[in-house]
Amino acid sequence: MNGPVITVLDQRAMTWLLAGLGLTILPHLINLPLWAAILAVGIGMWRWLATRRNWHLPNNTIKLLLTLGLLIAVFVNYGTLVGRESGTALLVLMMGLKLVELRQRRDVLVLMFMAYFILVTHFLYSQTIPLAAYVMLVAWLLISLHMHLTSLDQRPMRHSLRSAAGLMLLGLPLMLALFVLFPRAAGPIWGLPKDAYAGMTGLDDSMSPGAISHLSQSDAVAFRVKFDGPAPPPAKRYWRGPVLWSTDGRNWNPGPQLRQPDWQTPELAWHDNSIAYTVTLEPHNRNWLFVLDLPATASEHGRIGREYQLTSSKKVRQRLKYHMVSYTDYLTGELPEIERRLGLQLPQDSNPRTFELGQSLRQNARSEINIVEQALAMFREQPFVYSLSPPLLTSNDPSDQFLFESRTGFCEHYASSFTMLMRAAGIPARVVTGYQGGELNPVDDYYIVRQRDAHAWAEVWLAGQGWVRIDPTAAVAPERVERSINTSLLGAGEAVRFNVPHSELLAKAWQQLQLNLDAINNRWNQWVLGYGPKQQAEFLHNLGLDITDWRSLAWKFLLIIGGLFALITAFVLIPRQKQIDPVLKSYQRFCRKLARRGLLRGENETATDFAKRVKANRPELSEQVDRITALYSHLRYANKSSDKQLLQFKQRVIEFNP
Amino acid sequence: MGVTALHSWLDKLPPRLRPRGIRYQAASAKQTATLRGKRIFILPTKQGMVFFTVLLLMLLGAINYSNSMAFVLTFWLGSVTLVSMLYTYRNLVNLDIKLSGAEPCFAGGHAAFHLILTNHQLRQRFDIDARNATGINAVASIARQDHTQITLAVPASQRGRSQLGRITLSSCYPLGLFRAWAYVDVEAETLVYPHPSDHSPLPPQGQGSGERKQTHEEGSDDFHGFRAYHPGDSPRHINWKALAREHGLVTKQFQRHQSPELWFDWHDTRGADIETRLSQLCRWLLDADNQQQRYGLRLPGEVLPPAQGKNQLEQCLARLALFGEST
Repeated sequence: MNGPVITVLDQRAMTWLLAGLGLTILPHLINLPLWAAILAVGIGMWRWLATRRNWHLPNNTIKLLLTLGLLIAVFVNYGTLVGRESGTALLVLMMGLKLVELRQRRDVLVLMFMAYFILVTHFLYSQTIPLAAYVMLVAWLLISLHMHLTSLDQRPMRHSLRSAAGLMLLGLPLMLALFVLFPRAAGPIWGLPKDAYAGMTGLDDSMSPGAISHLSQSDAVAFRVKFDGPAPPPAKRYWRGPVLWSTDGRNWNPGPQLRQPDWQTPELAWHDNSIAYTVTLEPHNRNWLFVLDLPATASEHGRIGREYQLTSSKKVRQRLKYHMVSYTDYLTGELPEIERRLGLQLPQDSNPRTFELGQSLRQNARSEINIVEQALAMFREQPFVYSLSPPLLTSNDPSDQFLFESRTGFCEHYASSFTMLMRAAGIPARVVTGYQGGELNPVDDYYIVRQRDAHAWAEVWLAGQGWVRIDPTAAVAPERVERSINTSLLGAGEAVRFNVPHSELLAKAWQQLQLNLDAINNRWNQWVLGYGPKQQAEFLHNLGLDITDWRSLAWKFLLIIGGLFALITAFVLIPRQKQIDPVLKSYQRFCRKLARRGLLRGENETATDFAKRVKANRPELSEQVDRITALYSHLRYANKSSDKQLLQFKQRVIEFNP
Repeated sequence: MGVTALHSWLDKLPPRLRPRGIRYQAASAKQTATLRGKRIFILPTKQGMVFFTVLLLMLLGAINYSNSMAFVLTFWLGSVTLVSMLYTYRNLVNLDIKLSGAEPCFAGGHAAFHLILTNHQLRQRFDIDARNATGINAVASIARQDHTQITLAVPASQRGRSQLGRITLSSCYPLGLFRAWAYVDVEAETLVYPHPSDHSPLPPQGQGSGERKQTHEEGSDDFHGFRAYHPGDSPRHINWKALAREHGLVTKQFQRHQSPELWFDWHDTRGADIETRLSQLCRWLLDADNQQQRYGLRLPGEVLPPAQGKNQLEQCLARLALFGEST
């Protein structure tokens, strides 16, 4: 042990180190630009070969040039050095550079610190259970490497892995206590980089052809709903999002009035009983919250505007849970003049045929309801096709092209042209976007609404009824509102098929598995990822801690953490009792069994002598006693003995019954 | 304030004011020092401070992004760090240390101090660093319920005595984020002989030693016997016949019948200062011993009668090492 101290990393240590660092950056490789990913992997491979072949490491000038080059490359690629993406790329590449100059064991620590930091950045991209498990496993490997490579003692990696596991297990209770008790603050302390929320999907507050069908390809969860009572039927599960007033004939926008604050929340007159439910909304980096058509109460998380749309003052960047009450049958009040004007507005000199059709509907119809019915009948009776990948509308009059030529479209095409048609016929109308339907998860009895359930429909204002929801898509494809689309079964260009229940056992089992997984995910989201200020207050309150007095809470926090640490300290520092040899322990048990029958082993009696005496007294036990004594002598005194023999010995003693 | 600065500051305190751990324990060949808990210090290392900064950054990130899994990882690494502190302490506590021996050396060489570290624990101890005030160190791991010997080779530049003095036993195991240490005063001393001067012929023997000188010149060595060959034996003395008979290398031994006694006298040496003269004497002693002569040493105020062998050499060299000491 007291030999020369080895400070240079040898081949074996280097291989372990590179494996650990490789696993650390692995999930980032898909986020990095190709050149950076290739460079990072390349540096690792070069370093491995350099150790193996004893290559010279580059000198300071080359390292300096490399550093500058990488800084510039990252800056050129991202336009910044501080964002989430560029920061990650920079960290990974700088770790590569550090690896280039790595020679001594003591330099390993810096690399380890960088690797720990890179580990935590994975969670800025995803926090799913598999990734979390992966990161924790890599953390274990890193701690083991940290221990292995900083130690001068040349012990096998196996030992470090075991010690690191021990460290982590002892740290686990402390970690859990800190996680639960550490005060959580709402929202960022300082500004986040602009790209912090890149990649969050969701409905936009504008709609153009293809926008929603794009979302329909995504199985990502938009939100989950738990109804307090029975759920409304699928045909009534319209989840209201942005309401769009203004159009140029192709694109739809909310219009400028959305932000006028002086509009009061309108009174609703409702027909049926209220439906109470809790929505857990996935972050989508936008202001609107989705509610069942139509919401009756405001929520602490947002206010209800004139258009019965729930909007939050902040963009939803964390999973948000809110409780709501809605009514599926309702009567809205009078139509203010400004809404009438907006609801009839049509772009000039565009879609002339749509305009003409609207005009003629108006002339031939007996009532406003009749106009709506005729329009829907047209969708139903003429060869309109509901398709996820409709032909592009290239004309300057997209509505005309859709209604009279292609007649193939997705919900946004129907909603858009129907609304324009109504406006042309003089009926105030608007487009509403949101989600429709939702899949029941029977495991925990909640509904999953996915991005693929994104939908667009129309609302028309009818005298005496107020705003009435009209879904032209339902006229074309009534199944759309009964079942959700299963896009994974869909080939490009095919007409949409709907989720038909499979009879096959396998498909059912698969579905059940999916639902179970989603239930686990949901709990993970609610309890682990969604553990924020509110959940913490709730949890601490349930624990019986007074959450109003922060000073006493801080004391209790310190007390709990301190107490826990004291327990761990005691566990670590109190010396273990010397372990009794398992062979001896079993033999003593054998002796105790005989002692109960009056056969006491003498102080200095050897096992063989004792066995002789026992056999003389109880000849019927001869065979058993001989076996046990022989095994005991072998295990105690022979140089070689196997675990199997020990097991056999133990078993025989257990079965021994004098 | 750096950790090193704190150490030296604590060291400068008058003993009364020092914390308990600074009232060092003593270890010697007879006395075993046990590193009791109260005498062990523990502080973060420089790398530890860097790691805390990294953890703090991770925590700020977790708070800012309200990222639960980032909290989990940060808290877990933090907890592991805290537990590692306990491991560091445990790695050092109740370690026994004892002096097992010290080897003298010549000035310019290294005096070796052997220490025995005993681990009574049921756990292995790793990377225990023993270091004296001048920074000479040795690192060792000790298996469970085992002991190991470490050697501190202290450079000795000056003739006289070399002391090991206070040593610091420390360990940064397992993660290098904390350093636990304890001081032990080791009562260990060994002699530093003068640096032998360059090879020079043995002094002419005068003052009533002329007779012996003559015998020496005659060189009437008689065959005395055989012994096993040692490297450095003159080829002329090798028994080649024995080698031819496959008896291995055997050296013929000769003994001067009248065994001329050499006297090495302080006054026979020439040199500008004491050290040069002592170096000269040292060289003679070594050469004479090498040639298996009988010799005596005459120093001002002290005379060692002629004798032969290892003991005589050590006695003589010790006199040289301590020459001039007021005893």
